[in-house]
Amino acid sequence: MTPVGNGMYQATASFRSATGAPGEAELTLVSTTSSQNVARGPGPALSGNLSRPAEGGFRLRNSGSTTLTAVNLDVQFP
Amino acid sequence: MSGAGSPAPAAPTTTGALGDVTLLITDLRFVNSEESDNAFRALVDSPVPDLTVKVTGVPTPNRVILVCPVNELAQRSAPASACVTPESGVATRVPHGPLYKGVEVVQVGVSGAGPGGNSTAIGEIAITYPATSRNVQFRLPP
Repeated sequence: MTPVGNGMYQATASFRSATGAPGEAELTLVSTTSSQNVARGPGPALSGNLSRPAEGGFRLRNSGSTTLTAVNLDVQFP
Repeated sequence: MSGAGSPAPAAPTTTGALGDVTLLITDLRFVNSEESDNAFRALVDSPVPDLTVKVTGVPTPNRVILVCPVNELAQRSAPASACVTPESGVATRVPHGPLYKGVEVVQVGVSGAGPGGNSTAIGEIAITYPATSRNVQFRLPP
């Protein structure tokens, strides 16, 4: 999102595995002023604070070995 | 970030006009959704009757990438007649309000012969709107 303000962010990812095997994803906060914040797992979630960068975003990457389906991402930008 | 066993901190609730914001979604690859649901969807909070959506990197001419209004993440919710086939980089208006809460971008059909025609890489989707909250829900294609 651009612009973002000062304050707290939250992001939660959820998904299903196409094969039934446990899926895993990596959720990363990327911003121009804050250090990266990364969470991995079957339901990665992040929270933290941002201090008015020009732009902030979240990156979701399939870090497991199975195809993910029904990938949802719920984000609260500051 | 909260540790294991600790409740996650509550997200701030923001009300009132927050000004125009733009959501940028990059590096998506769409797969033909004729047989399975591979759409991108985003639900946003805004008081305006339409959102501005710009998709960059669609094929020219574009016959397969649709931009539609949507009211839930789980499935398509607008008739085909409510959808547009955008030109790359050209802004389109998508209805928003009590009936539709967001935007869907989906590939319907194939753009060429062979397996390559069954999928399309999109450089960027930009959704611009005046926000009444900074909560956004996404459904991403696999």
